[in-house]
Amino acid sequence: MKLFAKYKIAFGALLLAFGLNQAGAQTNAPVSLQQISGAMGRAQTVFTRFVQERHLSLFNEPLRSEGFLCFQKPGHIRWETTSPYKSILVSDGSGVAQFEWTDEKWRKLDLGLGDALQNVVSQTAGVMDGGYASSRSGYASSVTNNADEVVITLIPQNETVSKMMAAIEVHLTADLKETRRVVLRENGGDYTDIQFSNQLVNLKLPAKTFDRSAPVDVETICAVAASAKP
Amino acid sequence: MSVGIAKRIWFTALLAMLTGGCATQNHFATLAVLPDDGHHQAAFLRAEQTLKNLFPARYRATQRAIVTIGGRQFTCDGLLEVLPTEGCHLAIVSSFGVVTDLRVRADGGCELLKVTPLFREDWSRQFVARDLRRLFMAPANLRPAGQLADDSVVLQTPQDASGVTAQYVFSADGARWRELDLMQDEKIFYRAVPKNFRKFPGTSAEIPGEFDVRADNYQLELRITELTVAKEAQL
Repeated sequence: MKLFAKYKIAFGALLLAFGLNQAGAQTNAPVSLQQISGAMGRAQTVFTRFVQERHLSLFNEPLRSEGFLCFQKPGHIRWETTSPYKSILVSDGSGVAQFEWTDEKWRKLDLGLGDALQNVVSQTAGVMDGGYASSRSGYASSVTNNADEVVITLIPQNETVSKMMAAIEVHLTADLKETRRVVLRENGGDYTDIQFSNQLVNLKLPAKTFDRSAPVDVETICAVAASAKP
Repeated sequence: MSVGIAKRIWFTALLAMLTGGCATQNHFATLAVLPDDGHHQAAFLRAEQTLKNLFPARYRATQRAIVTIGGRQFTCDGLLEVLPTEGCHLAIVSSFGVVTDLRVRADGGCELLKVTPLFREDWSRQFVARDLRRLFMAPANLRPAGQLADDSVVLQTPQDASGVTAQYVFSADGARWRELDLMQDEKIFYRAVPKNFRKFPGTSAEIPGEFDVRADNYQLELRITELTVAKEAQL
């Protein structure tokens, strides 16, 4: 259960962050969890670039990857790594699929843990409905307003989860319009730092963005995103 | 489906790896190695040097792996640091976090640096350390075994304490490593094929960019996604 709880936390933190973008809270005003809860339901879609660094305590350099995250209500998630390898994990809300780029073509995996992954993704995608923040179940949360950013810190209260995860930090710009980073801090010093850029909320994503048989390529999504930018 | 069921699925998959009960059982034809006829000494010497100098003395590599167990596939990332004095230090990371972190020392001994709830300690020692040792470290005690019908030359190690012999197959001139077989009781239970040889930044020789491994109860498709030759102070 630990690993799934951790996975759920990670996705939950990401979606929590993007939900927050819609809060429209006043700069420097304290952000309440009620505001967060109300705001989380407003993002119909999210598209953003990410750079992820896994910092391992026994290594000097992090394990780095980058790619794109797509979200669409209800429960559609696509986590696509574009470098240093190509991989797509996609859920359309009813199932999950994974594709790996090998031998110059996409290859759908016979995914182990597929049902389990779908279960986790479905639950975590559900945070967009606001229940995650409003129930506060399992986490002690705090909000820190700094000069140029707002940091939400979630501390797992569940004993099982807390053995794996020490804290989750969501870093937002002070105006709550941009999610800068999500940091997943594990016990023992390891942490994962995910930095976001080029975020677009409520973008009309192309058909088959979340297709589990043949998802549209990310270049098509990026083209749509580029044309939608003001 | 509850998280509890998800947990059971995970452990069922790993149990397959442990027991081999419902896992992939690979069987390989034993190589027909012709006795050394004494005409391939230069190729044997070159093959030994090929393996010995295959990877830089010190480097850092990132890896992407697809592991197939019982017909189901799992992905993970690897971070490998190699130093002549320290051996190979590998961390494997999945979507769920660090799976294992271990070092295989230059003398072949295995030191488990991190045990996580995702992977049992003995699996790290039995499977991960074996892959690391066999794919990224050249044995010191290779000796000519003979050649195949196509003139490929074969080096092998003496039997270890477990009765395992490793056979390394090379091109006829010894310049290209083609295959590794592990044998016990005259049966091959592990076959690795290096492929997609290419140069990485800072390397003068071509390095296998991928390995296809078929082991007794799992398959491993391992890609080196990045490799950086390190200077002395960098690792």
